[in-house]
Amino acid sequence: MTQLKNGNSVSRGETVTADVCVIGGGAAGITVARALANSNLHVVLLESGTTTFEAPTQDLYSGTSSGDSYDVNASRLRFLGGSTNHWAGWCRPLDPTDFEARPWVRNSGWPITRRDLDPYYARALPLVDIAVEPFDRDYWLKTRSDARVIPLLENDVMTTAVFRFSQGPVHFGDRFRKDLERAPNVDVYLESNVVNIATTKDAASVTHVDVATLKGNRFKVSAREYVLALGGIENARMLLASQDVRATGVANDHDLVGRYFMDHPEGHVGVLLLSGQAPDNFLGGRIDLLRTVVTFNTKVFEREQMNAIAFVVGTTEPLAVKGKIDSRDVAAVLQAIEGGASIPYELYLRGEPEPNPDSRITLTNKLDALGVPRLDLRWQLGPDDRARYRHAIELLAKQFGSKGVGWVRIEPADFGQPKSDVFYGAHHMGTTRMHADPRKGVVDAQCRAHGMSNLSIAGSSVFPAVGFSNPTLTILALALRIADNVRATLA
Amino acid sequence: MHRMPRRAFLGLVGGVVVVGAGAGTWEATRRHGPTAEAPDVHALQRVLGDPAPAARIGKTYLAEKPNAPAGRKGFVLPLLDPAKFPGGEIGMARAAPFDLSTPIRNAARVDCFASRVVELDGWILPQTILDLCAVTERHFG
Repeated sequence: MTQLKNGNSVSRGETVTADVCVIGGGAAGITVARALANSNLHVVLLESGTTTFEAPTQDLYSGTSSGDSYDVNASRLRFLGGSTNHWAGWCRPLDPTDFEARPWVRNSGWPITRRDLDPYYARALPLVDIAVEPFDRDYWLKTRSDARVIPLLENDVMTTAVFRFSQGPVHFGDRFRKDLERAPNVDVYLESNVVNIATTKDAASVTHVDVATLKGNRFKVSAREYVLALGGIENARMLLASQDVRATGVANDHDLVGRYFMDHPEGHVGVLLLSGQAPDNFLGGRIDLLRTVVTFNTKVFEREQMNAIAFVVGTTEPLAVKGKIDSRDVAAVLQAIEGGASIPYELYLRGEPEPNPDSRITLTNKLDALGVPRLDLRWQLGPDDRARYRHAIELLAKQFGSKGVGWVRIEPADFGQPKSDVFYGAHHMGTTRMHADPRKGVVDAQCRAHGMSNLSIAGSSVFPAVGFSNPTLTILALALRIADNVRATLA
Repeated sequence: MHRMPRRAFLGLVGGVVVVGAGAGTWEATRRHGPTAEAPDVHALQRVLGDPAPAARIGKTYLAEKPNAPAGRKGFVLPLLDPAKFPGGEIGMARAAPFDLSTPIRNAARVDCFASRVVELDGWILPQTILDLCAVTERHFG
């Protein structure tokens, strides 16, 4: 067994060589390295942090936010395992329609289909301790008699979507550290921060990466293949900051790196007053670590020109925003009219943002402790996003009301107005988007940086459109696919 | 002799019938007073149990949108007209509150289906329910 190494132990100025250099020890990087473990390829994985949280390392993330309010520091973690160290475990593949170009969602569409990823989703599920079973609603509503889920409303407008949960949830650093230590061909270097990606003069290949530690050591890693896996924000920052050859950075000939930053607007949008109790499967965790959400049928998204949107039913009695009407009065009237006990639940919205080129990461003049420019995030939703989310709530309210399921209150009442506050799920996506055309995407359909021979990009930064599913499972599926591609390339 | 067009004639007759039915119900309400003695108002109270919550919503509704219920005046109580209820007044008197509320429930659901909803203090509520609350405020508030 090889112990984890430390960048401070490498001789200053030394060049460590490998077949594959994986930059970043989060969910994507660990999955790539683990998939290449016990092969004939020498893999070096570079992780900025140690195996636990340390403030000076975390501070390397610090940046500013000049768009919609966003905390670029607290929404991620910089040590082995990355942001899986604080994730909640929600898992769901993207829907087939999320991969399609939808004319009403500008800049949507992947160059691959859900079918292309299905084998990798199946391989990803065991990594997060989820049994390989379909996420398909029909399976859970009709086939699983032992753990059957009960919908709130199924008709030609509304349907049910199934999320499942990583048990634990799995923290990738803790879980897979031993696998990486046991693998004779994998060397993990902690406290090793990549501060520059060096390329050939034509910027067509990576020659090496420059590595720095907070204790002052510097060395290089040279490999045949590189996989950038620093996360949805940091992937872009590193490409932008690597300006040895081109002032625009690496893989940025078309000014796309850092653009299209997305997160899922997610949070409390109101009260769902149900005429009766919500089925357990909506409240989470009680059936096979499964949780259902309310969403719309595919054709409704098209008809109503909506982004992908789902509603989560909160488990607790809502702390209703104080208004002119006491929600208990509404509950009493609902109970009188529809019968049954009227029970209030939190209503959470999980919305898909429209890919917006003006929502972007740029570099600032300030430097971090290692001399890398700090970032500014200007998160901006698409011009129609807020109104679409509100429209979705109103549609939900009418559907639930028309079937006697319950009534809805929007909170705050101005939700959906231009510039109204939105919450986010800390899912950083889109900044090195995938597109078949180099003028429209940073990576191609194989997650290879356009115009570069040996650089792949892993993680949710490659998502060109994001649906309403949490990104982790898709990150893992793409990482496994990258590992296959790297292995095939070097075979 | 002036001949009224057939469509206009039918419209006039229909209007008279509708106004007549509404006026009859409101007349009964007026005659019996606001003490829930009129069959329709009595039924409304039985549907609601405690009318206070609906009355409070109705008060807010009337304050926020004073003109909103005007076009629907007399819509709710006719839903509780004994003449339309199986078994008439006796049947209505014997019915459980949930059965009494069936016409209101159906109307409220149709409202939502037809997008006849009103947003009040963030609540997206069927027009029928707000009419009901306004009527309740009028009689019990």
